[in-house]
Amino acid sequence: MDVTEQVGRTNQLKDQIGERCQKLFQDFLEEFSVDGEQKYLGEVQELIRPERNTLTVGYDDVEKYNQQLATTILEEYYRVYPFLCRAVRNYAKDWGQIPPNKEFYVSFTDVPSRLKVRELTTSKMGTLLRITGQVVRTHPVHPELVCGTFMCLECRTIIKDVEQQFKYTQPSICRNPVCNNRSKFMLDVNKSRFVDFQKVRIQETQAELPRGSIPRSVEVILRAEAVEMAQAGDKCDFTGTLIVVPDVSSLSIPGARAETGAKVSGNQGYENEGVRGLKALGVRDLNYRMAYLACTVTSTNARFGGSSLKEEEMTAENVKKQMTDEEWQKVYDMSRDKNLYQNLCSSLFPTIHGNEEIKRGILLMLFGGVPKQTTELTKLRGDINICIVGDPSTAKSQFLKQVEEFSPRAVYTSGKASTAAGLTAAVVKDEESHEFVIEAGALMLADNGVCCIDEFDKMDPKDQVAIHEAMEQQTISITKAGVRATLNARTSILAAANPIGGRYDRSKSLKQNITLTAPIMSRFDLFFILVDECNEVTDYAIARRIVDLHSRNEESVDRIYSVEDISRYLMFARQFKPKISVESQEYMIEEYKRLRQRDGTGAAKSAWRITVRQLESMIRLSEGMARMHCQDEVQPKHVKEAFRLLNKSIIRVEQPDIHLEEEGAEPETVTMETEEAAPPQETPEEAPVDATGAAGKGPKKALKLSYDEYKQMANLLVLYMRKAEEEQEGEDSPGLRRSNLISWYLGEMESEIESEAELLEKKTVIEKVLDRLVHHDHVLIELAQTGLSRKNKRDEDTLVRDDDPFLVVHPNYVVD
Amino acid sequence: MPSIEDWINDPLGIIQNIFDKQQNLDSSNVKNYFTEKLKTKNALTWIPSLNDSSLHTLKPNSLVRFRCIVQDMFDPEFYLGSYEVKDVVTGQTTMKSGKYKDIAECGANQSIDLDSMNNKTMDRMTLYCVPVPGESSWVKTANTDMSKVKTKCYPSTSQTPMRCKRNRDNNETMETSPVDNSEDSCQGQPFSSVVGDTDIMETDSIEIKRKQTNKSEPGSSKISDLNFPLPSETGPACIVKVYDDIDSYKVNDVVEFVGVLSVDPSLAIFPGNGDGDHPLLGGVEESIEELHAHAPPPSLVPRLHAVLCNHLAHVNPLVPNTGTEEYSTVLENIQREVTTLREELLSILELSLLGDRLAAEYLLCNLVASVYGRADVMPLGKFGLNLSNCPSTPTYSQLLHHLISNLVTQTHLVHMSLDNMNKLPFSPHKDYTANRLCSGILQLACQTNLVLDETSLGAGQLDVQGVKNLAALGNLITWQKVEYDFNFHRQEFMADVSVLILSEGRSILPSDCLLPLQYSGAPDDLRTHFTQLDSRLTEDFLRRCRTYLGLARNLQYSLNDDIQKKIQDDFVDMRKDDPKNMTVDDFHSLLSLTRLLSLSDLKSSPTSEIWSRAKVLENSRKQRVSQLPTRERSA
Repeated sequence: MDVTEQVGRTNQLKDQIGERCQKLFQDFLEEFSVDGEQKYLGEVQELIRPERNTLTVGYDDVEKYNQQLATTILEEYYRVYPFLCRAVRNYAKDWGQIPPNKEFYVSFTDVPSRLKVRELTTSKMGTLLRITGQVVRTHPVHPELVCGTFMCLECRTIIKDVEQQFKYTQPSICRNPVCNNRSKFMLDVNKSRFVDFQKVRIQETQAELPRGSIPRSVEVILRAEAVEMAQAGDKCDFTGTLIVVPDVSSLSIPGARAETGAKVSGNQGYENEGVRGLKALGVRDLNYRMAYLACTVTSTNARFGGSSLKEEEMTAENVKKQMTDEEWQKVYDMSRDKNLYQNLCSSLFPTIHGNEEIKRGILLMLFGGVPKQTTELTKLRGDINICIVGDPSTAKSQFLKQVEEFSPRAVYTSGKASTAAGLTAAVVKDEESHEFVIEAGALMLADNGVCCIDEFDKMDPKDQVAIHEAMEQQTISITKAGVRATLNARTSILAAANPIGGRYDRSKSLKQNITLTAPIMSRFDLFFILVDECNEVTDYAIARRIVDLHSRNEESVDRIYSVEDISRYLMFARQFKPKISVESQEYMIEEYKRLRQRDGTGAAKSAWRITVRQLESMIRLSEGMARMHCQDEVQPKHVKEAFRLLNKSIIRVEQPDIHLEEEGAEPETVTMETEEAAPPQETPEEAPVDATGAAGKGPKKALKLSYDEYKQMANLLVLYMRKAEEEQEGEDSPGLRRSNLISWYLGEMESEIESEAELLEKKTVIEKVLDRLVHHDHVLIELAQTGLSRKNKRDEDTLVRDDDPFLVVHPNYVVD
Repeated sequence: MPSIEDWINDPLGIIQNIFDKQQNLDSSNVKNYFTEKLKTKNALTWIPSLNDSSLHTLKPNSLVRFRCIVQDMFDPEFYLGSYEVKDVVTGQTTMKSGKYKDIAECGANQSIDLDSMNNKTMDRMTLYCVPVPGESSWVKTANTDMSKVKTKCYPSTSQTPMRCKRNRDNNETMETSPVDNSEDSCQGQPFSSVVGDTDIMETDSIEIKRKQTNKSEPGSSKISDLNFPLPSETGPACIVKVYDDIDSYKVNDVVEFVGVLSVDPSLAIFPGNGDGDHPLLGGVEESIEELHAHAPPPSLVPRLHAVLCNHLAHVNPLVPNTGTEEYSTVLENIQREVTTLREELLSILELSLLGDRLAAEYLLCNLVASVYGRADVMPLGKFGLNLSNCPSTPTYSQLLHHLISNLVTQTHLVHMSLDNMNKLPFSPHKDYTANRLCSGILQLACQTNLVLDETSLGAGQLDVQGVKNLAALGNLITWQKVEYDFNFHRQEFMADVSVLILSEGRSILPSDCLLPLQYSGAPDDLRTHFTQLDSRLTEDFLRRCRTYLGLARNLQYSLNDDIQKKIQDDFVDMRKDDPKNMTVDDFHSLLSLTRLLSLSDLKSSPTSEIWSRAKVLENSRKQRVSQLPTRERSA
């Protein structure tokens, strides 16, 4: 049944509900006040201006004023809409002079009943709804006849106020009782009323689209002030109702038009004649066209390339409002999850084995830091950039692909395949208008999202430069063919690169392993190295994982949180703008100082110098941490994790086998250090010392431990020391003496030691390890009361042993 | 069967009776009725099929079936689910069901009351369906042969009258048609007659031309192209209206619909009479392009109101549905002779690969590969094979493709010439003016074998479209996904396409497995070389091979615990020996190969013998690869 026809009929019968609504609504407009002031008075007075005709009413206001009225409007929207408009008109009349035939309209905002495009079914017809969609096509605005005034061509009688609904409707019969004219009328354009009319088509948004389906679309009819609000490409909210319109195209056939009016049933006669006849004879197609009549259009995202006020205005409250109760409950539960960090990681990458740090890094990237603006209006980015460098076939691409999969605004692109234009933005000539237009590149498409770039190293250096700007300034400027524009590209970059020569060479520094320029490298907050390590335990785990995948793939993918849950949570959490607390500030300063110092000691072949950039990264990561826990304040524990991650990402770079003798590597060390602007004091001395040491022990086999062995030893020692410290608590003793520790360790190893030579060897090793733990990794702290200068400790063991300082574990050290 | 005529010729009458009886519009009884009717053995074959009968031989409003893929999904439409009919003489009113039809009907002396409050609006979904792209001609013929209804004319050509007309208009018809149809119509013909002397490259350019002309005349009286994914496709397209489980249909699904055919000429909406001449009214009429796409003349694109639908896992007519008794018999029969059959097939593949046994093994695996699952983003079971060192002539790829099309159900050959890469549409894209999804070559049904001939690629400039096309192919091979361009965003759709790349050197496209062909001197004339196969490819042998491949491809597969453990241990050991030679990726492909080898033995679980065989094969393959002149070795 055609709703439009229903309304037409009920109109004539004096719709009681409608009348009542009209009265109530007028009362509402007159009485509803906030803080003693009539809320809608000012706005109604505005409507008197000739270009205005639509009053915007908050639905929640109506709800507050009269629940029943609100419910009626919601359920019988299409039926009562004309009455509501009339109420506005009457109210406006009370307050000023209005032209007699000016039409007024109402538009509602904040309507609670939100639906997906896919959920628009016949049962929803006529009720007030809100749908979200992407505008894919707009038609030009043109006037629509609302109320026609006709003149009978036979007797010249004027017939006024013939209501029109979507199709041209002539009077059924001339009002002049003696005139039997049914078809010959002329429209008097000057005395008829028109309204602006625009048709747009919206399409299901990507987020709502079920997998494997083609997005559905629906025609939206916009009238009055709602026209020209939406541009193709915008994502908009439309408030209004679903209607069916008689298929105009199948009805208005030349010659038969006069008879096809909805209120006229005269055409039925034709149907008797032949069901198989031609359309002109009135065969009824069973199909109706469905359309959505919208009264309010609100943009949900910023226009492409334009300013994005909306996005920034979005608050956690807003996001919460858009969720259903269930969804909100889930988000709430997630925010209370003690194991959230871990659970999110494992849910995001269920099929990737290990690489926990990378997962954590990517997770924090998704939450992101808070963008800031200094008083000098310099923008500080909040986005976190990550680069993964690794051997082939180490699941790099899978990380990227996975991020693209669940991040709402992520773009995946390969450095090899994309040209400068493909990644940034291009100026192209429009084929029809011959104008230059700007075509979005991957970075722009990912504005406010993530841009995943695979094979970053394969990218043209020119492109890398273009990206450079995007990474720090968060904009892209193009000057080409007379077009000059600065476009927003506030995107996090997740890049994957292959090392030079295909495999990561552990003996070289990160810089020497990839073909990225220093400025670009320094713009990455985190660098992760994926090395195809050969280790029986992990190999076995990997084998298991893969075999599992291949044998029963459904079960092996288990997530604690579904992808939808996570993206919802991300959206919510990203609204937080955590501030850094005082303790956190101090903690940060402390850690930064330490990083700087360690960098200064030069012993670490750090990939780059620790600069303010790393401090900024630390801040961003901490903010991301705080956001993840939905907290408004960055706490020291957040900083701690950020620092750990940052440390990992830098330290991982220098995790070749631990050369306790530092041999073989010095030439590089030296050249690298000299590059630095201010070489730390110790460096010049250290290198020769090492060199002599190496020379002295020339024939001896090089002392080399794999990183894992080293780590294992360190953990063993630390655990023992912690235990000892606990036992000694309360006692005066500040800790274990170095010699005690060594002898304990050797005692532990007793079973493995067979000869004296071995014992000596072990001893040297443990001493070297201790040295390293103290000076290098700052795991242990020496409490040397004797004022011996530190630099001397390294060159001869005996000297140190004489001091035999107390050793304690660094209070912040976490065994992992 | 006495009732057969009734339910096939007048389904609407039966449906109306059912609705009258139950007094509501629940369609489950209708479905039950027809399911019951079709339960009898071979009952389905009594229903005429749109695939193999020309439209004018079918009765309107009769029951027909259609085997197709869902190419596009239009928006749901609202219709009168039931409407009131008033007798003009007596004034008596009755309700009629509007389900499964387009046109409201009533008898003499009756009128339809459109304003009645009893009328009920309902919604149904419209799907745009086209025949399965790349379906081998033997599949078509086998289906036609099985059909009990013999239409009087055009027994097996599924060309619509429109197509003929188009061809006649085309000046180059004489040149095109024999080659154009060579892939499809020369089923059963010996190799000697496969390739005429016409240059194939030319065919492709003509195809392009045709596509282009179609595009350039959207407003002309001729309806623009039927949106087939592959340019060489023939057969009817159909707008299918579905009533139940609207959301269970996905794009590219292979479905067999059984439904009521509706070809009422009034369904066509011709441009010019629809949009009226009332600029004052904001009508909601559609644009001309959209009308063409959504309401083409039913003589060209018939409407089908689906009563029953059957999602097909495969279109192989020789493999019965799994779980049936028939299936087990067929499986047992083939399993009994699988060793000899496999051997024989291998030797044929070996001959076609110029005597390379190893390549034959890999090609067989490629033929039975299909994506059986996805671990997150990773497709499992795919096996993209790159045969390098192929004879660099388009004839070879065509001959090989012909052989493959004789074995598997769906294939397509793409010559990757610069012209083709730059001009052919690969990824489908949405045309918002016509509001439809314009198809591309990569819109393929699952279990399609795509053969890419890289030997036709020459040096030159790839333009933007070409780069995009290349990326789309790479994406398909690596992730088994095709990105459809929706203008404002791209949407990925899952695919299951087994890709075979024939190239001279290492392909520019990624692949799971690279294997350089080894042969001693190419035969002087490839065609004569292939004619050797003619005598061996008997109808009976082909039949068994097709059944075998169909069975193998759809076999369930699992790893038992013992073999799992063995495989894991082996991996760790191999890593110990040489970590460079056994990366995670290598392990993946080794496992895939093991699976495919077991399937090709018709075993649902690998034995340790198969596992070692896989290792041996991989080793000899790697050895060959390592002998290749090393370019940049990158993943």
